[in-house]
Amino acid sequence: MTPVVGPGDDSATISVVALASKNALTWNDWDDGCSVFNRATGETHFFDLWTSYLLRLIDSEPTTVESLARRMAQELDQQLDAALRARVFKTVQNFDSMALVELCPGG
Amino acid sequence: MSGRLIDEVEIGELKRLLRAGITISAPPFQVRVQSDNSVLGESLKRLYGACRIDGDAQAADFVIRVGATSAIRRFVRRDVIALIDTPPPFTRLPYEMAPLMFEQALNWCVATRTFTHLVMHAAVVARDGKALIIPGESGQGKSTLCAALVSRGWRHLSDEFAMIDPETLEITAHPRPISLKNESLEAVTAWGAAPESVMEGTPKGTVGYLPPSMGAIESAGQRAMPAAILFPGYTVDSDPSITKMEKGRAFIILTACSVNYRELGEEGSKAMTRLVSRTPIYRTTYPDTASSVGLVESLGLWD
Repeated sequence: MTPVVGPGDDSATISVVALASKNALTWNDWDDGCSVFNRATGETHFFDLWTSYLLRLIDSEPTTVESLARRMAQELDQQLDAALRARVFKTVQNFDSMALVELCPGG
Repeated sequence: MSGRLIDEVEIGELKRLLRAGITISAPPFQVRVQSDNSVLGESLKRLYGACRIDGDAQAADFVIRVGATSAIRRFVRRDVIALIDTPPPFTRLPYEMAPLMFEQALNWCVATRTFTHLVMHAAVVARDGKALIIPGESGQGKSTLCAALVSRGWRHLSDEFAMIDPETLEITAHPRPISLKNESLEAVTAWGAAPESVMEGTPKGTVGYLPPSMGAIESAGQRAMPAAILFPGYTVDSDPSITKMEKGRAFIILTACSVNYRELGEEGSKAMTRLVSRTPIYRTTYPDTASSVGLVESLGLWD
């Protein structure tokens, strides 16, 4: 796992988040959340709507943690603050530990 | 169907045959069993009487040998263990518990070596070709509810495994003895059922079995479509209730109930998704068997 700098550090904005394996995810939306089958690992994950939306953003294109936080704030009408940045950052780290995404230095 | 019914084989002959090895048709599997354990011979006659033997040994899906752990254990502090073709994942049991050892071994074979179906830890009964899947952990009332519905005329497809065709979602029957433990034995005895091969002091407490009927074995070739999934919830002193489950949560619980979901990969994921999408899923709470049967019938899916 590539070390990532946390929110509040400027270098967080240049940490690129991308899917670990392109086109590897199969999505299933349920009323109470979303299940994701990862063909690359054979694992199935279940996420609430907020978390699955974040993963969809990463699925659509590689991005940065800061950009993710900004888009989550805009599209879900949340305030872009330290708490939201920390939540996004923590969730991205969890995705990384599940081998769903890769974190790499960008710039 | 060829071969003799186990019920029609005289016990002395059955034990002799068992020493050399017999192939039991336990649909959809052919199970080769070899044992010099006298208790197992008697148990097979009681629990598998509706099944046939004399099948082709070469065609067996599983080969299970049930015997003592060492030569001396055939005479002193006699014990029993099942041997398959890999190191056994079982703890040895006293000689008299050979029926439990055999059931454990056969369950292990089905759970670890079936790749043609999505296999879920669940009981399955059906009426008019429409199946009710009853998943659940031990102690939730899965087998007791299965036995209660079978006693009321439902078709017994399986007590232990729902074997789901990943393409069609049809369920292949695997009718075996219904395994009952502790309070469940008392519950079924109360409505007149007579458990066989009852063993006290097993690692699971008192264990006994209700053998599958001749009808269950003879109709095992007929598949059934899932009509509902119901998580049983036996709870002492509770009020009977039944509620629809949220599908996302049910999906995750069902993947955990499956013994080979991960091994099937994407095929398993697709099958589970279609199963959950198409099938109503319920959670129940009930204080006794009569209530649980009432809840199932209240669904109105089998009118």
